[in-house]
Amino acid sequence: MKNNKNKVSRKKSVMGWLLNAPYLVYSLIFFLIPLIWAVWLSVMDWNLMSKNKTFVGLGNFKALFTDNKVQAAFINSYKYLVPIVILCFAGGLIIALLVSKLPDKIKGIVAVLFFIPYLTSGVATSVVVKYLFNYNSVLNTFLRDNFNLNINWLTDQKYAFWVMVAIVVWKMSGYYALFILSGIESISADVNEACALDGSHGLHKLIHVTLPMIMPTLTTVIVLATGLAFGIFTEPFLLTGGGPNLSTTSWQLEIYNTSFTRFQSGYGAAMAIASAIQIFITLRIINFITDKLNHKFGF
Amino acid sequence: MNFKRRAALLLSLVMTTAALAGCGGTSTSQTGEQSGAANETQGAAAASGEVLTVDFWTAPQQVQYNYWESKAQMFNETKTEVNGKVVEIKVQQMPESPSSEAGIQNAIATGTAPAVSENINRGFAATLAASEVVYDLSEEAWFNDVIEARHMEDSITNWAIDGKQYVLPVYVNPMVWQWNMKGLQVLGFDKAPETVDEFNAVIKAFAENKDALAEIGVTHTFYRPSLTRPDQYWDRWFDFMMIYNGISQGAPILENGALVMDKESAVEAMEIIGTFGNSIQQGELSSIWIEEKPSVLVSINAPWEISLYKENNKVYGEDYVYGPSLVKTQGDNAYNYADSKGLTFYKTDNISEDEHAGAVEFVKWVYNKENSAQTDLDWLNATTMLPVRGDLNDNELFAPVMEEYPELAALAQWVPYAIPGLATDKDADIWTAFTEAGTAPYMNEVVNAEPGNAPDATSYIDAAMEAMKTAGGLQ
Repeated sequence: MKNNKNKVSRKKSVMGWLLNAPYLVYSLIFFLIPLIWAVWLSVMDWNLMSKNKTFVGLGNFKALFTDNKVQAAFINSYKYLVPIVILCFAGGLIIALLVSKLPDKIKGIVAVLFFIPYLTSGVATSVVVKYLFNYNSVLNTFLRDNFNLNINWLTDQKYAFWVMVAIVVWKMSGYYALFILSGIESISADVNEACALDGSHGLHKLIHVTLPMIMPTLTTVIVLATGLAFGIFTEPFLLTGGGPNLSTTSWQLEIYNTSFTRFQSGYGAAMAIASAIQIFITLRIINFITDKLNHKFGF
Repeated sequence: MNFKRRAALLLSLVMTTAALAGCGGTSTSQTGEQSGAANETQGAAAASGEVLTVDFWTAPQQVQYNYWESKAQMFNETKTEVNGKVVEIKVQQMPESPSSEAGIQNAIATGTAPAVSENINRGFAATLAASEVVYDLSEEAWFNDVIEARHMEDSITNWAIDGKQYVLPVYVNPMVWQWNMKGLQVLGFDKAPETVDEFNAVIKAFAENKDALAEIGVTHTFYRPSLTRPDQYWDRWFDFMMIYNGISQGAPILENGALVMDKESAVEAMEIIGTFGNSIQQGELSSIWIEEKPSVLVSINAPWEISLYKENNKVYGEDYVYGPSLVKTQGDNAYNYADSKGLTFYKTDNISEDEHAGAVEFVKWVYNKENSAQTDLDWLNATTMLPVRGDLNDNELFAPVMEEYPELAALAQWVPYAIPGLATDKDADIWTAFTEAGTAPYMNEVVNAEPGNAPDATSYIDAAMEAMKTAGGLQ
């Protein structure tokens, strides 16, 4: 009897490994091996081309602490994080609430319309934004002629950062709205009826019923938006190059420039590992806070 | 259960294979006409012997691919042999993304480098040379024959890297000022300024005649949005280095691992930029020179857009005119910056001796004494970029093109004084640091100054030179 149980358990185990094999092989090749290789590269002074590779130990990591570009990338990742998470969350929530009130017939179509910016290539968006903010664009000409405003949107530190944030929020809000919408739709009709009977409507219902009931969905949105904020690249790469004065730079941009423009691939790998550590710690803190909130609301 | 296990195994294999499907090596198959032409040649060659395929990478631009593809087809028809094998040149564009340099870096790292490529500037060549992945050509007899055939004896010395030659230059664009001719005329000038004094007179006239210029649409003097962008470090080659080379009469910036930039000239060069004051256009503009009324008086340019101007009915000498880099005394040579790229032969494990020899045979054939002038003329016609030759304005073969394009004839006169970029693998670091510590902070003062009143640039040049030393590991 015990042998039979063991046999069944072993078979199940083999079946489990077998079905997971594709993902495991994929992870091994695309995550684990590159990660190990990146760690090895981070302790070398090597440009990926030279036959001579110099072992520098922790030298690359020490250099990170005095590099103004790394400092800017570190600080900017939090500067991006706060508005992007808040605005993406708020934008997604507003879109989801508006769409949820629509008749079922058009709900799907409208949700897809808000999803389109997410499907738009970052390169195409950046080209359009660049055109829109050209000195001689219609917008700037209008501002100059009517309000005497001469704004260098992409070369003035005051505006460039917010242009980057606006593009990301515009692009991603519709995507996160789908998550939130599915959460709202999953709230049972009984709950809505109970709210109506108890006189809970509008903002009161949103804060005390809807949001607490979709807390796991909101947690997902916040974690995804956090990851997004740390991964910004295309917009500053194409529009500002990280400037002016490093105000729009990001980890990804600095890693790219270090590895592929200045050909310091070992140092670039050290930057990548440092950014990964920062992302990991930040996500753990956010997870800790959202877990507490989820626990408070019974999830 | 057996069926389930088999199905699971099969599913697992299919999923794994599908997941890894994109990991295959670079396909060597060719498409369309390209494939047809290559196959025909290969088929014919195979009949008489073994084929030696040699990879040649062109710049990512289609026009350059077409040019080299046509040369390769002509060469392949000669059935040149190396060690009994018929050489067949296979042309493809180098990857453009993330950059052509990064594409080369990736190819070397993954053992897929071509035997030879174009589109290599002196700075990147220095990086490749320091990595010992390119051939030194200076001792090669064929290389010296090509230099002689193209009358490059003088200009090739500017390409040396630690006394050796790693690049066979293909084209050179002398970077110059591009002036708004109608704007100059409104200010009372009938030609582009050549000396610092003439330049100051133009800027003074601008400050006094803003209203008159506004009538023809000119609102700013100088278009240069990248002065505060360290990521666009290469623009310092075109603005600061171009001006510095003219002011300093070609004084070197680096020598034997030491920063030897002439500080006085550097300050003067920076102050030329400062002279524009708050009339510098730092906002992004698109296609300034094909606008009906260009809004700037001057920009820095090379002949990249000549065809575009023609298409838009812009006439050289009427709408725009090139002006040399500024010199202090009339009659001084207008040394400038050479936007110049050339061919490099790769010395990596994946390239056999025979493939290298095949690549050399191709380049020898393209630039030998009989073919080199026609090769360069074809290049000029295809790209409107000046080939690196010492006889552009003397060789009759080029006369019809120079007549058709007086702008090219004007540029050709400054080719002998065009100095390529620094011979260092830290070129990007050095100019990034220069922008961060020099031009970017200096611009904070410049934008508050009236045209003609350049702020003192001494402290900015001091800071920039220190930053250059640190970034480049220089003495």
